[in-house]
Amino acid sequence: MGRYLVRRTLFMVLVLFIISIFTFLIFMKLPPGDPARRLAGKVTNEQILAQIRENLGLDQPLWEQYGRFAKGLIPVPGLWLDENVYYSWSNRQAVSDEIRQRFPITATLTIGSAILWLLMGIPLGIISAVKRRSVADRAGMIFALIGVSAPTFWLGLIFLYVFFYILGWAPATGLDIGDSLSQSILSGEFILPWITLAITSAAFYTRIVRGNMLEVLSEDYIRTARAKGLSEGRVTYRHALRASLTPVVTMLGLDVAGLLGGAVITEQVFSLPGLGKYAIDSLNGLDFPPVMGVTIVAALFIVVANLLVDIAYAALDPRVRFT
Amino acid sequence: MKRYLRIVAAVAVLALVAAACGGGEDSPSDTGSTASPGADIAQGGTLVTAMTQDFFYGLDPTQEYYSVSWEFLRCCMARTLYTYESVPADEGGGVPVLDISDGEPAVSEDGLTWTFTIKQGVMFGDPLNRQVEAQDFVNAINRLADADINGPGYPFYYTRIDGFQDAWDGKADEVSGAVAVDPSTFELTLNEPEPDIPFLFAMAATAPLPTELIEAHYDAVELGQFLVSSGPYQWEGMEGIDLTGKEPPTGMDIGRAYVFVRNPVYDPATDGRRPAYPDRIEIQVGGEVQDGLDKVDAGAIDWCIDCGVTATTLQAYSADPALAERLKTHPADALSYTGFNVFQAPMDDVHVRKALNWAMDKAAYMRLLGGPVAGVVAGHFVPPGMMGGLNADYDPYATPDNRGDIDKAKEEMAQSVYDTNQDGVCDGDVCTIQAFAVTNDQDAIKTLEIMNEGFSEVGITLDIQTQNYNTLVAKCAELAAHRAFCQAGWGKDYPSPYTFFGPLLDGGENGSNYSFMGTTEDALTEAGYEVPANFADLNITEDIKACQATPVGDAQNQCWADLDVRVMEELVPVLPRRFPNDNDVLGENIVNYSYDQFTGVGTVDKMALASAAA
Repeated sequence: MGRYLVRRTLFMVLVLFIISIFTFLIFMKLPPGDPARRLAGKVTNEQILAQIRENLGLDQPLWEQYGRFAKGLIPVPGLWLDENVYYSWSNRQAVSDEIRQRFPITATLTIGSAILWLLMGIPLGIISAVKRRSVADRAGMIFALIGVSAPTFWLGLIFLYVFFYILGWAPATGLDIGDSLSQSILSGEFILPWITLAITSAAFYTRIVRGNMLEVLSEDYIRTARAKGLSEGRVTYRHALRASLTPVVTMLGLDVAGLLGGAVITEQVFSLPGLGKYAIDSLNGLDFPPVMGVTIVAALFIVVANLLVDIAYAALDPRVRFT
Repeated sequence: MKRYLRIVAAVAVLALVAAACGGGEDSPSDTGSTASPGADIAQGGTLVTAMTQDFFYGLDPTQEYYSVSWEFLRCCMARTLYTYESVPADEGGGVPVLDISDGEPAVSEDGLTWTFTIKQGVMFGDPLNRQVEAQDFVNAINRLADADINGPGYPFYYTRIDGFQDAWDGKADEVSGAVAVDPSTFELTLNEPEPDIPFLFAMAATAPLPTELIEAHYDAVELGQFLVSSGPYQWEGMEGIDLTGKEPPTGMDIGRAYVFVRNPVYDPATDGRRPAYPDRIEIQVGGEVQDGLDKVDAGAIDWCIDCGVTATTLQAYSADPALAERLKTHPADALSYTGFNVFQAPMDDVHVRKALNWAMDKAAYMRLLGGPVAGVVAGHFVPPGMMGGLNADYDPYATPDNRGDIDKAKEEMAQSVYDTNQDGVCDGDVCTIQAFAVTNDQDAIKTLEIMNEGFSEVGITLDIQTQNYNTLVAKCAELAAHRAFCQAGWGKDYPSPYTFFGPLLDGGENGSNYSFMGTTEDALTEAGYEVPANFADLNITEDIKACQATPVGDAQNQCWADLDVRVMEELVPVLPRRFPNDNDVLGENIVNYSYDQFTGVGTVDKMALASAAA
């Protein structure tokens, strides 16, 4: 286990390193414009542009520019997202501070919607599997089809239009000024974003759970359990469900980790100042340090989640061993 | 988004509206300061607003170059020696008036020394609570001349101040021509006369910056977060703040939300122009345009500052008389136009440029953008309100119903060297030119298609392509890119035509001049051009200087108007398309409204609230 962890950790560092290089090259070598010119204002000259490039380090060789950013990816206090390198080129705010302030909002959105989609997806999947070809199964699959097909932004806009604009049941987009995160949660400002984000994932999970359950329910040991006289409930929930949930655990870990890096579309539609919105706004403004910072943080979540999921998988399935 | 982009973007989302909207036949309401009938105008209440685009530089007055930022600095936080009445142009909104300056300055006979007396009683708010002094203005000018701070601003307007260029070039630490003679006397020494001083010292970058603030937070953007107000409002949380600390006040949550509260030591008797109706102003940052307008409609907010109006909202508000009162439309002192690179074939021939001016169907273009609410057809270069009303009806390329006149276009083209057989049609490969629109900007793409329909009649074919905005702007501004034809929009920096002629038609490769007029022969050669025989004629530098040297007033307006005519009839470096409008949709809670012609934004401190009177 120890060697496995060391090996995976080193692999994680390698992955982050490769991602950082690609991010840097994509942004710096294939840019949709010159960040210096964007910051220079509408009437500028070469002197101003040169000054801005010097201020931002854009006049250095590419490898040296990358080196400055790469140093900030070492997870050591004082180096990690160093404020002297990782600051927004437009509003000069330290990327680390912004990530720290925005992460709770993204985490709230992610965890809340994860709970919802599990509460929706798993029971629906079970019902669909147990009552196969029934009306409940058909309804479950139609829900899954709609949920998977409907774009998140469309769902969000529809919910806003109906529940905020027409019915006045839901609060407006954004978070009320002066409210703490808990106050925002309690005043319902996350309800529509949670539901929007949860529906698509719930649809996936419904299908996955249904598929897994159907497979497991046809296994010999399930037939044996029934033959031994166990109740259907016990067969379903104690024996079949546990085996069916193993892949769900894997998916959940990766889905949550992916969203922790920024539920971009949902945050944009509902104007939630989380990591996803931060990334989009920075991209639009050709603001590289926040883009790099959020990308690496998001990648970190994914690779760590991968590792944790693998460990959890081994714990759930005794047949799995670390190699 | 830069200032001119806001103006273009505010109306760019308008689309053709069904006939039910009124078919564009009705004139848009062009109201100045308006109060709702029967409304009680009172101080008080909270003005709840949103904006989709953040302040660019944390409301740092030295750096901000954005109309919305300028409005919040002007109305609320950063008084200046001069200011504006914050009313529409036809009510005098484009004329600078005295603010912190106590009476007219003493100006030397040669115009090179301006001496201002600082009005007593103008106070910095929390945490300083002290009189504004001359040194505070010196601080502002010195910081304006600091190239490390001020890439994005407008320092180029101030180079006539003695020592400004030296400070900018790093040869001096301070601007020698900005001096505090004593705490209440501020003196400017110039190296050549600058009649635009009233305009220039109404700009936020010249607002007084207290020494205590400079010493604690000199850096770009950071200063704005701790900005000590000289106006009727200040950041919430400034009372008791440690100015040397690192934590900004609670009301300054950069990128997310802003809250302004009253400056407790502001004395209205020293002002007289800022009624400061709301007790509190809240701004939430983010969201999309339609979302902001929906929130106004639903009463969740009172005003979306930079939303303008969309086709959906326009349809709803135009159809309902009660709602129509809440839709405010004003000329924006802006121009949507096409810039011709006068050194790049085939645009290096004035007859081609004139032919295209004749050929464009501007009526179709205006219908695309939503009709009269989007603005008026532009027949010349400088927006109507900026020359005291002169040239308001001037259009040397006027055509019946603005549909273009192909016959006249062909007549013009036949005189061009590129029409080898004088049949009114451009000949050869050079007649196909690349034309770029911003990717996914459907209005911009359709505009080019409309232009192409007319241009193709005279043999000019537009090869329409799309490009990312930043690349498009960069390439258009680059002489070596050899772009013959670029779409653009522009808004004034201050209400003088100089802010159009100077940046757009002079100075060569200055970042905004797509005509490249005013460039040098060396620059042309280096960029791969041949210097044309008429090179000396393609320059209006001396004309601009002559107008600037004329005293502000009727004489100067006439000078600019004459230059406008010369540009349009002799040089033709542009195809003006539209003078856009600014549009505001107001919530029910707002019972008084004024339009600030200077900033092109609703006047924040004049928005009285129904909730205040209740």
